[in-house]
Amino acid sequence: VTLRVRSHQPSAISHQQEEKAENGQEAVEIWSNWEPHLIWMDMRMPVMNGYQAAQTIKSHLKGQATVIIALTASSFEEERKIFISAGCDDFVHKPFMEDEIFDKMAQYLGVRYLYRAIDKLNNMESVERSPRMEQLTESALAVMSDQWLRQLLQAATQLDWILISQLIEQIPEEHSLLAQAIQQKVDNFDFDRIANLVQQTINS
Amino acid sequence: MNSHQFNLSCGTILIVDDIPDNLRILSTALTENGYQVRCAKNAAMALMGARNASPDLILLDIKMPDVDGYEVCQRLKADPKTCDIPVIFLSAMDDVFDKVKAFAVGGVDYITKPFQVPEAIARVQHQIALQVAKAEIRALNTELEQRV
Repeated sequence: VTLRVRSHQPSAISHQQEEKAENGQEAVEIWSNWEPHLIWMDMRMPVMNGYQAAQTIKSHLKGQATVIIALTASSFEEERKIFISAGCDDFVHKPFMEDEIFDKMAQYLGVRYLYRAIDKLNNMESVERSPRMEQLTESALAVMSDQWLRQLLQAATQLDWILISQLIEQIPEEHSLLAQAIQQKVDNFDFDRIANLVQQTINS
Repeated sequence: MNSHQFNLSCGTILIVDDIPDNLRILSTALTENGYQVRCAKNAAMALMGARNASPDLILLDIKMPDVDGYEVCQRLKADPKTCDIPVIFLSAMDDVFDKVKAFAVGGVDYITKPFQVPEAIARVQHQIALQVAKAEIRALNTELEQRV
């Protein structure tokens, strides 16, 4: 059983009971009635912060049986000492990786995980797919102005990667994938592909 | 016409090699020595690049799939737009490449791979110096003709 205090991560844990608390006071109340094995404690909360909540819980004898892991955006070693002094057993930096959360639970609760093969497969596919999202397509190029496209075409036919870099810098932030896609082509010296696609975009 | 400054460490160089890592090694070395570098990894791109923005010198790999360096050189020499650009061939040391053919198709020199960067730079500088000297002579000739 775990208690999540104000972590907005969707729970990926099944076969485990879980409760949520919105602030430190709630966390202490739930803890005293329910006695979870582990608490994920956000250190910055209204009403009673994580520091105070951890201190309160650990001041009780039965609190010693509960593992408290601090969730913190801070990466300062100083803060780490404060959390430990409050009674936290460990801490995890935000933004946290899913694996990190599972590893900590394995470490403190001795839990073992059974992975469903299909989930793993889906995950791997999505990981592999993400770089391919940076594909250079006509429709992606069409967001840029005609003048910009003509400059890019000229730069590509001249193999002028410096000029292309300058043009990439003009791509608005929201189309950063397009910028990455063009940069990838430049890194692989695929100037012909850039030229062909740009030409097609201009023609269409 | 401005008088040419005799600076050996400037000019644009087109490197043609089908292996991207070779392009990266040479372009880094040449860029560090003050040259502007462009890269092409096949014959089509090399010809396109040379025609659209004439470099001062071309480093051309001999062994490439589809169209090899000899043929690229012949096509460059057949095109009035690119015929005056000097070509230095790049060849693997263990490759029995035809040096005579390299000169016959219009090459001015060759560099063997794996590259010894100082040697490559020296050969490049030498050709750039010749180019600069030729340009000086042309400029002086024009000046003379105008005076006469």
